[in-house]
Amino acid sequence: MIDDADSLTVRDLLEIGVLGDDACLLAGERGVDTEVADVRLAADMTAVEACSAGDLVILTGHQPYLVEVALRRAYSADVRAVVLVRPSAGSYQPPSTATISFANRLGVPLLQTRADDPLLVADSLRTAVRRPEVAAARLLNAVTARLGRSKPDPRSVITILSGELHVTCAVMSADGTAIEGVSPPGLPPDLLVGSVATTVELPEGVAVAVPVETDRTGHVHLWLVSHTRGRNKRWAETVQQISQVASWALGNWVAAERLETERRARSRGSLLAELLAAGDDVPPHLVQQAVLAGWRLDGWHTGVYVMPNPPAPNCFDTAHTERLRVELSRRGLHGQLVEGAEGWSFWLTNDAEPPQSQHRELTARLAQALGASTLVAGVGRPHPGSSGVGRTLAEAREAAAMTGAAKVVHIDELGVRRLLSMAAETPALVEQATRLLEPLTGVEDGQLLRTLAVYLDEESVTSSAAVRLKVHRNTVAQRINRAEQLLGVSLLNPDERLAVHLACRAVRASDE
Amino acid sequence: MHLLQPDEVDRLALGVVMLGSGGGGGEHETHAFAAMLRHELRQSGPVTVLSPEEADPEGYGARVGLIGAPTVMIEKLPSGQEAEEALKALQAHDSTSVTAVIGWEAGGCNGLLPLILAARLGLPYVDVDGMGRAFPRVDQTTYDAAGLPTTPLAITEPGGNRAVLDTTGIEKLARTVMVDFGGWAMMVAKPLKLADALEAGIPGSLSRALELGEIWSQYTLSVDERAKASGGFRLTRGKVAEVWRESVGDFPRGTVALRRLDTDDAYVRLEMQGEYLVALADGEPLVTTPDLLCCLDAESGKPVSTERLSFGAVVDVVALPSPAQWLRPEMLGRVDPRAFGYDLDHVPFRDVP
Repeated sequence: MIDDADSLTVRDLLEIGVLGDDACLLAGERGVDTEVADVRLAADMTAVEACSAGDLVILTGHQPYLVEVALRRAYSADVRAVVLVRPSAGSYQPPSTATISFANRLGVPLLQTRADDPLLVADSLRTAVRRPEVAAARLLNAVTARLGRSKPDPRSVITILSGELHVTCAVMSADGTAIEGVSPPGLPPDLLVGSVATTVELPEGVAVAVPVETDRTGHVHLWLVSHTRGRNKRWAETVQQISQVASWALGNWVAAERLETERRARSRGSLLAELLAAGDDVPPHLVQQAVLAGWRLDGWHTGVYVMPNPPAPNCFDTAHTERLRVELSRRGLHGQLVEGAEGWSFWLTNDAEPPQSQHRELTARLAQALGASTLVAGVGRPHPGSSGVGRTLAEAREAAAMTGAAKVVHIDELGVRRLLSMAAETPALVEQATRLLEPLTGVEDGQLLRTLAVYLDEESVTSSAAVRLKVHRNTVAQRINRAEQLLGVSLLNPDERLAVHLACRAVRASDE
Repeated sequence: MHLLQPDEVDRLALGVVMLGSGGGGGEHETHAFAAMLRHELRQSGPVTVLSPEEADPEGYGARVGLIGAPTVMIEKLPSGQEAEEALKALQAHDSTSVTAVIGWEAGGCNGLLPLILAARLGLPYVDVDGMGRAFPRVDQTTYDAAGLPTTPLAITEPGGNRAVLDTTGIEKLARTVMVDFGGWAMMVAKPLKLADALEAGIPGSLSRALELGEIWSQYTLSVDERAKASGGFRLTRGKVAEVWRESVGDFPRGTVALRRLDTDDAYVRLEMQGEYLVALADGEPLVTTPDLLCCLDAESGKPVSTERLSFGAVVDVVALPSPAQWLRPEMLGRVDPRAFGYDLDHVPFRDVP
């Protein structure tokens, strides 16, 4: 037998939806909080008279006089409610004002539902009242069957749950954002803090939250929240159990989605690697894959290679990629971003060859996008066609490796630097340079050598060098004269000037 | 012996309408027949009305009745000859000589028709009928309950068409013919031996109609007083809040909610088919068929038929007791609420204040 705490009231029956979707209370609201002990189907007055206290009567007839007589007998027998069954087709006389007024005076709830067969209404009500566990099992059955047939994404799961259980559902993240569905009004914010299924009373009914996905630390990322208007304890348990099953389907969905995202990132990475390896001759199957990946191979491509400096091998996951993509697109850089083993390849595609001015603007935007992070970027020259992607990315990667102290480096800036860095890296040249500049080493505390280097950097203009060195230009002229004498060269001779300039750079670079 | 004079016709007409319980043709239709009766009485002299004791038990009485919708008579006028034609047609099959006219249905138009026939034929009218009020079906008579024959039955219409029906289950056939005859028709049934008719029938219904006519034309008395004088009571005064009618099955059905004017937010429900059949208050049946229910216009005091009761009308609902014959257990089943499809038992007539 059912114990009192679990008995369903007329209101519960209405709210948990066992009466059907179209059920409504027509009159007698005063009596809806009384508990229903049994359900009877009455085809005539004799059956109504046979009812006892605590019963709910389903009346198959609906003539006004019959309803009124039934209401009167229901009242004197302490029957809890009278339910009218409206057939989906055929004639039906909705209860008249007089009938409704009478039911209100008696305080006997008068309900109306729509069904073809009153027997089915009686069966579902009786099961709900007498054997709630059977009703719950039936619902569970229905939900699992429907879950099995449909895609287990949040939208379908919510549709199924709200259809079968007559609840409002939401898939919510731990911070309370509803990813799908509508968050129940008045949901306490701390409900989604724990890590186990929770039931909480709301101003309107009960909310049940079950975790969908938990990480290794026990933190729940995603919740399935169901809001039912009924307050019955047993019903809330049923909702929780069924939501639990639905949450597994959702968990499944989360896992599948995540796997798919990972897989997509990997396949894009390998596609790009193949594209780069193909060089000028891109085979058609690669072109096809690139198109399927949403890449545009025609037009002019400008490549960017982003990498951490110093290298940090652990930062390549989808979350970082996503963040970078957002940062770039926020700066108006909408292109393809592919995650690699050491950094990200990114390229922009234009219809025509981009003007020279573009690279300065691109460099500035990239610098903004990378901000204060440890990431640095290299930019390649624009190259056309499918092979252009590989070429510009190769340049970008080269540039990225040579950034030094700068955040963003364009490959064009790299030519001079590279020559000079080669000079600094060649021991024979450094030795030669040191020997060439030997006479000036230590003379006037190195001042003479420094002045010479600045003078040559400033294109042999005495006044410019004087400004940089903060001395009078005659001083510069005298020092250069002395240096020429000491070295035994003439800076008017282009060959000698270049040799001296190069030697200055080489020595300076090797000093650094 | 009573000689029915032309100046009694108005009272008689009001009386038969009261016995009609809202059916059998309302005031308007009865008025037309009352005019015809008055005319006949002036032409042929008063009709001799014999009380049951004065009748010759060995004689045979003819009975006449209208079948169909009295309202159709506005469009299809009677010729006045239909009853005689029907009797002639019947006598071609059954040569029993008729010595008197007896009643069939005392309520509504059919309470007047036998008198017109008696006046035209110069026969006496024996004060007995088969219903003591109005009922919709041919078999709802005490004659029929006693096993007296209704067939052969002749049926005619103003156009001159006639049919003689001899069948069991006359109800269905007569109605089919009536529909083909154009909405209403006149019937004359097999004449009954007066001894049988008097034993099985309801004697004194004409006197009762005259008595009711007398009482209800006293407009100086209150409705309660007139109801009391008639042996009944006034159920309520109410304003029609809802009227629903539907035409499924053989007879039109309807239900009316009257908002009581004496109590707040309380209703009296009247269930009706051709007649007012059941009155309920708050789901409790108060008056049920075969007891009579009449609605009287609160302003004019005139009876309102079921067909004419409409939204907003203010009416007095008056209950009158049924003829005692119907209350015998073997008879009640023909005319109690269940006979009309209501899932209710007959409630013994009692004075409800």
